[in-house]
Amino acid sequence: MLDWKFIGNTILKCASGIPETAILVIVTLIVSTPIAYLMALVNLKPKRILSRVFQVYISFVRSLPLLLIIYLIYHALPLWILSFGNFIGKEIDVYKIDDMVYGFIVFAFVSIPILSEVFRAGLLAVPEIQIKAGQSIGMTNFQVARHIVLPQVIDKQLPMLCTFTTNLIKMTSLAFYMSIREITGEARVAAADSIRYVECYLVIFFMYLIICLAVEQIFKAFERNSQKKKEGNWSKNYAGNTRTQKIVSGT
Amino acid sequence: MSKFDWAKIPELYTKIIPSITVTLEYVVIAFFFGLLFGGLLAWAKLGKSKILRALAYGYTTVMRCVPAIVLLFVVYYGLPRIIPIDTKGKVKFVAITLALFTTGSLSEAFRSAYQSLDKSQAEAAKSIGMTGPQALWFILLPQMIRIAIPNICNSLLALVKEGALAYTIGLYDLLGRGNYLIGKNLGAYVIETYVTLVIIYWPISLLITFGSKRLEALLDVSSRKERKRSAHA
Repeated sequence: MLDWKFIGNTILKCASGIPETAILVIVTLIVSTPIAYLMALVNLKPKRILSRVFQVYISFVRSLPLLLIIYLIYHALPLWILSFGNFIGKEIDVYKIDDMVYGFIVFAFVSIPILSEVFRAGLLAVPEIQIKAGQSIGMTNFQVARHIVLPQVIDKQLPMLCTFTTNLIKMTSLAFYMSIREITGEARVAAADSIRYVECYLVIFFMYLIICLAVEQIFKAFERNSQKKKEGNWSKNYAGNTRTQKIVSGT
Repeated sequence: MSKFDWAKIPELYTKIIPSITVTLEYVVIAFFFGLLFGGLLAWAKLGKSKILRALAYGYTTVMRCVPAIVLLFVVYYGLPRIIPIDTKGKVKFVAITLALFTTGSLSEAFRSAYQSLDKSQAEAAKSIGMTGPQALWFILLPQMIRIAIPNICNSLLALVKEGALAYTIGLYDLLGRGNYLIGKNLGAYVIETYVTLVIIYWPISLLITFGSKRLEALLDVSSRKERKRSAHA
């Protein structure tokens, strides 16, 4: 029924798409995290004009099928680049731009709003009194963000970040429509070559399953680690000191 | 390079919009079966049988970890091999795939809603002599539905969005119809077509989100009483 030798070959073929998927996911995360964080800071005050614009952007990405967004950007972006080139009086050869660049742009475009909502929820959970406490001991705004706010946001939102990362891995399965040969792309080529569709797609079915489970386990390890660290610090520095407890919990 | 032609959009709109029936067809079918099996799966997750519980959680994990397009291909190419099924009507493959996905996410919505209920509710129902099913139907379920509504609507929204993948197996739903028109126009008006699709999809999603909020407010009995009281005062 199933041809095991063929499946072995297909696994190797599809695995050659793993680097592409990994690059897509990692670059997207690196590019979109700082932008999303800034956007979340702006969105903390929802009545700002900029924040209203962002809300429309968030709604846009939340409402539309990813495939449609991919098609739209993939077809519209070259035209914008061309007209931008004409505007600054330079000839830009859009056909020389690597498909991966389009991939980064599309996935960053859809990731930023989702991540910004994750960060916003995390920021709302940091009591304002902590920020004031940081400023009162002479920390700069950057230091407050780096040492007080950010660790708590990341700590609190680690499960959400995990969900987001696995979703991003799943989203990259559509990168084939931008001619990127990642896992799904390789599988489609292999399937078309051999006309054994079921075997090929079953292979990547399990490949995605294993990858996403592994990513989840990595995040869980982070969570356990931060939990342990917190407990350790607590007993070492603050245990029994009710005054610091009060300040830290924000009451 | 041709300029963006706004005048073309109404024409494209009238050409694409009839295909909404196809989109609605698979969304409604998948949502119905998702609710049904999602409820069963939630029951298995909350039940006493260890095997059923492990199976239910395992199923949800698998559905969470696999991209929709991959499952769609597996169903589309694999199902006809296992059971004799007509490959012509592609709607059923999309509906089956989407139903498999929503079953997972809806079961989580039901489970978390049930677990967020206070245990004393069920005990109080029992103490006034209600049977188990009666307590579920009259006391627990109405409260569960209200709590689960945001998650249920998110699943519905995801259904509409993931459903657009139907085009990849050649079904002419909204996106498929749009791509068909692009082919028919020999690649002209590409961006106009996709903008038209944005104009079609966006209101659908906004409607679902708005409906979710309205329904939640409507079912919130405690705040309804408050409002009535303040209206009388």
